[in-house]
Amino acid sequence: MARMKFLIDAERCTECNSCVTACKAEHNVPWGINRRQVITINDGEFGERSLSVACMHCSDAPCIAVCPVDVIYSTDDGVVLHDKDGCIGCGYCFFACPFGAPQFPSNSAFGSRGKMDKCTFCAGGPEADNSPAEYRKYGRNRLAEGKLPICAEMCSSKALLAGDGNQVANIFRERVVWRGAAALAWGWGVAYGKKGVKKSYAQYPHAATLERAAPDGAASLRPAAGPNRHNGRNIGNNDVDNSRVRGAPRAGSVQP
Amino acid sequence: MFAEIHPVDANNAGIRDGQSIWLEGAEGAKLKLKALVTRRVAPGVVFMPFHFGGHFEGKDLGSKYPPGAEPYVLGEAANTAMTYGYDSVTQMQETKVSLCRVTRA
Amino acid sequence: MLLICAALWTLSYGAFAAGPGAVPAATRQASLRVPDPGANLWRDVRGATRGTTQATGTERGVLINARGEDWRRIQTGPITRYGGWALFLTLLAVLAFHVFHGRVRLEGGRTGKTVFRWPLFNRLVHWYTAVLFIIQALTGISLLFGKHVLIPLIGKPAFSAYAETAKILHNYLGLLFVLGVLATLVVVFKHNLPERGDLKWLLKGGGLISKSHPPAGFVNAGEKLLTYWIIATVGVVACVSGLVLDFPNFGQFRDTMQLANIVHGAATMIWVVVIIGHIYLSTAGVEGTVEAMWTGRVDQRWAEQHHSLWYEELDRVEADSARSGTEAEGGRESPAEPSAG
Repeated sequence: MARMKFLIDAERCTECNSCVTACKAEHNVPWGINRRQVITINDGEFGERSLSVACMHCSDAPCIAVCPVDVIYSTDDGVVLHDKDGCIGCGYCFFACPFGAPQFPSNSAFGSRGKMDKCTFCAGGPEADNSPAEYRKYGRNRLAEGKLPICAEMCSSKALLAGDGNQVANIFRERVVWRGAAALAWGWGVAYGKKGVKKSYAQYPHAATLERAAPDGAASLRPAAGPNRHNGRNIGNNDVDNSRVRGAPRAGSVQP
Repeated sequence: MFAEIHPVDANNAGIRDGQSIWLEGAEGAKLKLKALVTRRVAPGVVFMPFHFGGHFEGKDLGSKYPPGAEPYVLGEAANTAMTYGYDSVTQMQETKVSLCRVTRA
Repeated sequence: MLLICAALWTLSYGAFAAGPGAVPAATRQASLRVPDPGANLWRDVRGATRGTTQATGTERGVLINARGEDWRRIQTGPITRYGGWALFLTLLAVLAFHVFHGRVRLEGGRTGKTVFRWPLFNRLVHWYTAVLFIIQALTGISLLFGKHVLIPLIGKPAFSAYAETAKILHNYLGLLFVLGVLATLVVVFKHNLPERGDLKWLLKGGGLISKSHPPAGFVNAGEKLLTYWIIATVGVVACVSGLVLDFPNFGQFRDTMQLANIVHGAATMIWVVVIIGHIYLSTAGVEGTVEAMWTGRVDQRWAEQHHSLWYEELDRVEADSARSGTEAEGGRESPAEPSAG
């Protein structure tokens, strides 16, 4: 069975917040609750990175462990869902979650929080798939229709990936290989100083090595074009033109 | 509605993050916004998101929409503060940039 | 144990404590000694850095706060395990005492003549607090252990409904209960200060096992320590942590709530264990005791046997007033009469 995971590529996220908007629109999330949020570190400065964070659907979820009424559960796909009918709004899941994923409609005195709401990986809840009751409580169930979460589908730069963990990891690995570590490697600045960060990837000394390793423009490193199907599900397109990725070498642009 | 202002400019104008400000265009229009003080914009640059409507020079005109057609989010339209080089009907600035002055509200 | 818990938790707080800034736009300057290596980014991400975000709410913008995992381990580990065992063993001990040792009898039986002990106001405060304590204890225990014990018995939907009611009761009555605790601590404070006979009484174990009756004042040393001063220390800690949990609308961060939850769990379990002892000894454990708090009067022989120093004072006062001709009331309070205020 596929184990569903999210992966956020910090090098690609542009902080457009499309994922946030898509999630709120698709599931009719009430005001004040943000199932997904985009967080930017070093805003406006060198090294600014953004990450899109929601429930990470942990394998050993702390929220499941601490819930006093045991309403949070993990499906066969590895998606962590919960039953709003049983939720008592104690907030323990929010305390336990490292990502602050569980949200509550209110934060009033006497600890009356209302029912917990969080990212469902677009997989609804315990109610019958795609039923009106399920939509009202948890939002749309895309997974049951064979689709992937709307946030990842909507991501403008395909920074947010969602789907089977193995496939997602493969895609990201290919990107990392294609991009090369270059300025991201620890110690790069120690070795080359601030001047070592070049304006274009092609100027790095080892760009030639990469070109030599894959003389056909590294096409063999590129995944096959077209939609990537797994178990009949479309888990994202592979015909993203990686040559547009920042820092990727272009054919013929390498200088010895 | 908000405008992104560099900390240097915000400091000079006595503006703190989240405070209300008047953004005055070169043609005299004044927009009432909130300040988002951040280093995202360069010193001397103010950025304002556009495609919003319903507020005009600090007044809420939401009631003038046809019933049921009011947008979920109302905000100042950036075009109100734009200057020469704009489309005569929408006042959209061709260069998408103009002059402004920011003061604390 | 409580203090150790709290001290360890706070010490390991260290750099992870996110300050009380509710403005999400503030960023922490990540120290970049080298230009933009990814390692720095992910170190910041894991280190509870706060970034800018458009989402609003408490702690929005904090990427990863791993303290929840520590809390989860303690909450589902020692607190549940030791708390559960403490509860079970205390009940067992009380039962064993009652079965094998038997209740402490009033030697010689009742005389039928009673002595005034607790005024009405004291009794009202006591029962107000006691009833609320029982409710708080039962609801709290079912919220902590319920999912292990009750779900297998009554199933999830039923337990969920019960737990929802329990949480509402626990949270709303919690405030009223705290007021009762404060009133109790104030109203009987002067009875619970250390006295001369206390140490001797304690060394004799109050005569519980040896079936002797070491002299004691209005309140014996055991009651002072185990009932009053436990409430004044552990109980107050439990109340304060409970209030922190009960009013999250003051923008407490997760770390605060986690610490309060652990402190609350440990303190209340200790408190419950001690009160089980108190309830037993005040009712079935020692004959002739419960009527003190019910009617306000106790049998003279009970007073003689369990609180001889107080009884002698009473006798002396009565004898004095009889000698001086004034009409003595049927037994009166100890010389320092608590005002019914």
